[in-house]
Parts: sequence; C-alpha cells; structure tokens
Amino acid sequence: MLVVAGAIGLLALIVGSLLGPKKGSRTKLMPYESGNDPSGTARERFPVHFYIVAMLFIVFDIETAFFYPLAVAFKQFGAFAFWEALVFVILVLIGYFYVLKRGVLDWR
Amino acid sequence: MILFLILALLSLVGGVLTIAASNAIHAVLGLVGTLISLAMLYVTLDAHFLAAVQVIVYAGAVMVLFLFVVMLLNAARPVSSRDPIPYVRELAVIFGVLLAGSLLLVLNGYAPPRSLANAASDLAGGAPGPVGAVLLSKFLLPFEAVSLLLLVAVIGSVALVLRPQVQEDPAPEPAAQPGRGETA
Amino acid sequence: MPLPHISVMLLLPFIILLLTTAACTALGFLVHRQAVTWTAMAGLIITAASLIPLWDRHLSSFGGALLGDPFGIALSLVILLGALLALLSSLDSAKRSSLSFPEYDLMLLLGVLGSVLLAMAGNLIVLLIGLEIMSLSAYVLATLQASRSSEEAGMKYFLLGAVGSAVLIYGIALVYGATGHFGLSGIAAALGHAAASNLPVLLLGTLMLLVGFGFKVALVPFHQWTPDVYSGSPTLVTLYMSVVIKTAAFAGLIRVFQMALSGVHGWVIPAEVIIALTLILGNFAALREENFKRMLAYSAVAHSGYLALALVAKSSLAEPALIYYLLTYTLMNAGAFAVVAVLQRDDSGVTISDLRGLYSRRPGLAVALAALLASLSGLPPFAGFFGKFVLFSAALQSGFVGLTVIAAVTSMAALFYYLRPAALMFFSEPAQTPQLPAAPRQYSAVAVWVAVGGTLLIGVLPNLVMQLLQRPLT
Repeated sequence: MLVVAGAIGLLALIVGSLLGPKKGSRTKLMPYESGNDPSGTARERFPVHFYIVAMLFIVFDIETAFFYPLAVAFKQFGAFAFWEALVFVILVLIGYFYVLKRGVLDWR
Repeated sequence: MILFLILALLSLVGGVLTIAASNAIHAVLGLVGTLISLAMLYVTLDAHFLAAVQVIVYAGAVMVLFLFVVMLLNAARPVSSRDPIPYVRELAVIFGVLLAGSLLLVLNGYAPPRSLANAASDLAGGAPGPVGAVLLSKFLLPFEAVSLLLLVAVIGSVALVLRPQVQEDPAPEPAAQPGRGETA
Repeated sequence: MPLPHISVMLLLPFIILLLTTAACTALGFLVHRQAVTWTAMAGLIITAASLIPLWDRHLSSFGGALLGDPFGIALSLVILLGALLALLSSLDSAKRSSLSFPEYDLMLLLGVLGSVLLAMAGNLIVLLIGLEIMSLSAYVLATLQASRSSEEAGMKYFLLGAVGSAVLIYGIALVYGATGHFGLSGIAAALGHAAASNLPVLLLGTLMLLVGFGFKVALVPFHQWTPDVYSGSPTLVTLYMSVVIKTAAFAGLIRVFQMALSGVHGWVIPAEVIIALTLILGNFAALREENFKRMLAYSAVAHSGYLALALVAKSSLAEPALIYYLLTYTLMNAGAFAVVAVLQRDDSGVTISDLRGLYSRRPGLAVALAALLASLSGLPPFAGFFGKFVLFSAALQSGFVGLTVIAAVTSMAALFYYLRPAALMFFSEPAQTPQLPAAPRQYSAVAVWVAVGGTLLIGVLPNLVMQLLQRPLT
C-alpha cells in the first residue's frame, strides 16, 4: 500500500516534469505577493527584536512540551505533581520576570 | 524494515545537504528534512509523543529560529571563501569514516540489556502518559533541573542581545597615589 | 509509580542558591550592582554553611540521582569558594572591564548551581544537565562584555563546548545502550553481568565520555579553545572559568570514571596517552607565551594533566588527592587572575614584560603574585607542592610509573615559566611602557590575600584538609 501510494506520487511528479513544457519568464519566476509586483527582495534584514521573541518562544515552547505529558499523568500523582509543576513554572517565571523588566516585550 | 531504510536514507540525505549546501537557507531546509524524517522514525518505533515533540519543537520552532538567524545575518549568500584551516575537510572525512566504521563494527553483536518486548509494553504505544509518569518519578530531578537550563537560556540570551548598561561604581575611585603606601 | 524519595536536607543548598538567584534577579532592577554582588556572596556563604552538616551523612535523594557524599560536598565547597573569590574581586574590578551589571552575578550564580548539581550528580542525566547549565552560563559570561575579543572568545567557547557536549551525549547514549542504566552505581553493577557482545559498545561509549570531558577540562588534544578563550574573555570571567568550571568538570569526570566505569577495560591506555600529551604540551607551550593570561591558560592545561592523574589512579588514593589539589588550584589560580585583573589596562591582560619591576611600584601585589606563582610551580612551603606530591604519589602507588615520571619532569620545566615573571618583578628595572593603573582595590586585595594565605596555610599544614578526607568519600 505504502509503496503503491509512494510510487503514484513519484510517478505524477516524474510524468509531469517529463511532459510539461518548461518555459520560465520573468513574470512567472517572480515571487507571489498577492498579485502585486514584489517590492524589493524577500531576504531582508530585520530588527533583532524579532529574534529575541523567537528565542523566548522556543523556551516557553519547550516548557509546554514538558507539561503536556505531565498533565496526562497528573491523576496518578495528584498534589505531588501539582507542587513539582509549580516549582518548574516558578523557575521559568523568574526568567519571564527578567524579560518583562528588561522591556524585551515592549514594542516601540 | 523498508520503511526504516527509506526514512534513514531521507534523514541522511538531509544531513548531507545540511553540511554540503553552500546557501545557508538550503542547509536549513536540509536540516528540516532530517528532523522530520527522524520524527517519522520515532513514529515507526511507536514513540508518538516524542515524534510530535520533535516536529513541534525542532522542525517547527528551532528551525524558524535558524531561518531568523540566516536572515538576521544576511547569511544567505553562498559561501565562497576557502576553509581557514587546511585539510579540515579531509580530516573530517577520515574521522567520520572511522567513527561510522567503528559504530558498525561495535553494534554488530549488540544485545539489548533489557528485553525490548517489556520496554514496548511500558511505552504503551508512545502515549504521553507514561512519559509524564517517568518525569514525575524516576527523572524528577532532571525534570526540575531542565527548568534551570531554560532559566539560564532566557536570561543569557536577553543579556547578550540587549546588553545591559554598565553601572558606575558608587564612590568614585580616589585619584591614584604615586608609588608607595599601597598594599595592593 | 512510586513517588521518589526526596531528602530536604540535601536539597537545602540548592534551594538556598535558587532563592539567592531569584533575589538577585529582583534586586538587579532596584539597587546598585554591588549590592547584588553582596547578596550573591551572602547566598554562597549560607549555601556552604548548609552543606557542612551533610558531611558524614551520605544522604542521597531522588533514588540516587543526587548524592550527598563527602566527595560531592567537598568539591561543592571548593566551587563555592572559587565563586566567592570571583565575586569578591569583581566588586572593584568589574567596572573597568565593563561588566558592572547584575547579569554578571546572575549568570555566575546559575553557573554555580549547575556546577554544584554536577558535583553531586548520581546519574548521567543529572550530570549532563548540570554540565549544560554550567556551560551555558559560562558561554554567556565569556561573551558578556561588549568587545570584539570577548565576543570572539565566547563564540569559540560555545562552538567547541557544543562539540564536547555532543560527544559526551553520544557517549552517555552508548553507555546506556550497553548497560541499561543511567545511575552511576547501576552502571557499575551492570558491568559485572553485561553481555560480552556489548563490551565494544561500552568501550566506545566510555571513550566518547572521555573525549567529551576532555573538551570540558581541556585535555590535549581537546584543549585548543583554552588559550584563546582564557585570553579573550574578560579577566574576571577567566578567573571564574579557570577555577569553578574546572573543578566541576573534574568532579563529573572523576565521578563517572571512578564510580561507574572503572570496571571497563581498555580506556586506561588512551587516557594515559592523553594525560602524557597534556602534561608535555601544556607545559612546553606555556614556555613560549609572552602574554601572561595566555601563559596562565596553558598552565591551566598543564594542571588539567596533573589533575587527570586522579583519573587513572586507585580511587581511594585519587579522590582525596584530587580534592586537595582542586582546593589548592582554586586558591592559586583565582589569586593569580585577580592580580591580573588589578594590573591590567584592558582585558587583553598584561604581558610578562609589563611585570618588570613590579616590586618597586606595587610591592604587596608583587609579593602575592610571586607566592602564587611559586605555588603553581609546586615549590614548598606552598600548597601546590603538597598537592602535586599527593597526586604524583597516588599515581605512583597505583603503578603508573611512566606517567608519574613525565609529570615530575614536566613540572621541572614548568619552573621556568612560572619563575621568570617572578624574577622579572623583583630583579628588573620598571618598564618604560605606559604606567599600569594604580587605583587601590581593597576587595581584590582581600581576594588575593585570602588566596595567598590559603595556599600558605594548607601548604604548611596540609593535614588540616587531608585529615578530613581520610574516610570513604563516595
């Protein structure tokens, strides 16, 4: 089944590339920006602020990833799980407090 | 087995692309390929939760960060300059082949110390429940310690990107006295 | 699943350190940085006080994941001492290195937390996380100063440190695959009945652990980052790295190899080769260095070689010797770098010719630095002498004659590079080069004299320390 499915997908790609005409024009190769002509290059440098937010997102993303299994196992452990999760949250919240006070999340 | 081979091959291709691509964005995409095929490998091993985390955290968040950095540094230009260290490629190939060879040799007669059938039943199909139970019992200390790791990462990254202001000493340093009379 | 056993007594040091960190985070936004530093130092002292009652109780917590044995406690105390000296000398030197902000203290405290966790780790996962906390904070500290050299040093440290960690993780995975255990005692027990076909996997994992730790403690040929990172980082950070990171990394290394993997055959000979290379290369490379900070960096590599003798020696001899020498090393190196921090114009440090005639300008500092250098070179009556003596005799009594001879011969060569600056300070005219800054630094002076006094005290009366270590340590 899997092999058949994979083969059909591959076949479609191969046949398409063999049979289809390949004519690239400037307009066709242009990046799609909702029908408008693109303004400038997409590979632009942008403020470092975005980057910090992305980094912070990862940290809290990992925290969430840890909490998901914890939530599932919560019933087995009861109050104990609550306190342990609380310790974890508080420790990460120290970092969150620091981030807030440094004004990282202020957009001006 | 065929599935494993396909996925392993895919992840290898991604890995090779990551180190061989001269355009940084292509390298990042290669890495995405590797990470996603690894996630699929986890699925075939019945570790569903792990696979989900792999996709969400690595293929999702971490890779976005990679692309951010590439954009931030304008590093998408192809690398053209020579390696600063001579023979580094050759050395890397030699050591890579050595490592791969010794791993092959060593894993040839490998026997798992615990029976895999028991381990599979403990996993319960890779559901998050058993993972959470282990995190709260056997690996409780590492679990809490990870929060410290995250704390270091948060404070450290913010402190490095937005350098804090240097504070003056409260009392101005007295003018230097010439020569004698100082202990240190 | 049963709930894990938690010993609050054993967790107390960590709780105190955490509370201190939290307090310092909040205080950093309210008060001057020096007040934060004082808070951090108070926290470190209270932590040390909370460790002492645990000394003989051999507590363990979390099912053996955290070990409160005398080995871990003693090395934790050494780590705390090193961090205290780093903070003390930063009180007046940080401003000129542009490090005078609370983030410095915060990262240092978090690094100490990771280091103490590493020193007391009872299984490989905790060990790894402790090591990563410590390393991450060290990368940040090395990069914290807004200068090119600091950024370059931090970047190098991060890249090579990450390689080291990756190899280490690989090794941990292989060891787990071969034995089915993460716990150090579990691994040691599993070695007895491990299937013979798994022994190659085990050996490969062990060698990878050796390489990974080799990166962290700077053993040749994994030491290349050391001179660049030590000389490029701000001197205060170098002080911290050279004592705290080294102590913690050695704690982990010796724990893993003496407690868990001593039964694995085949890693001792590679380890011997690495140690011999470290001794030879570290000491001879230091001979050529003109920059004092780089010289001390190579001296740190050489000292890794001496300390790594404890890796191969019998554990009952090696552990007391290691603890004694790490204590000594912390005092000597912290003192020497504190002197550099006082003398330097900027964070490139001082050159050896800058030290010419230091005695006529700053007699106190010159005498202190000379004493510290004499101790580093292993001259009696300083503690460096007795430390080398116990380490060498531990290796000798365990049957490593060749290694001991190499260690002894190379430490003769080391006399040159330690004593040349010392001689220049006393017997040479002052340099005509621009004056070294001459502002008095009370706090750094205290740190330096604590270091000198400590090396002298435990050098003259080594039994003060050694007596405490005559007991089962792990």
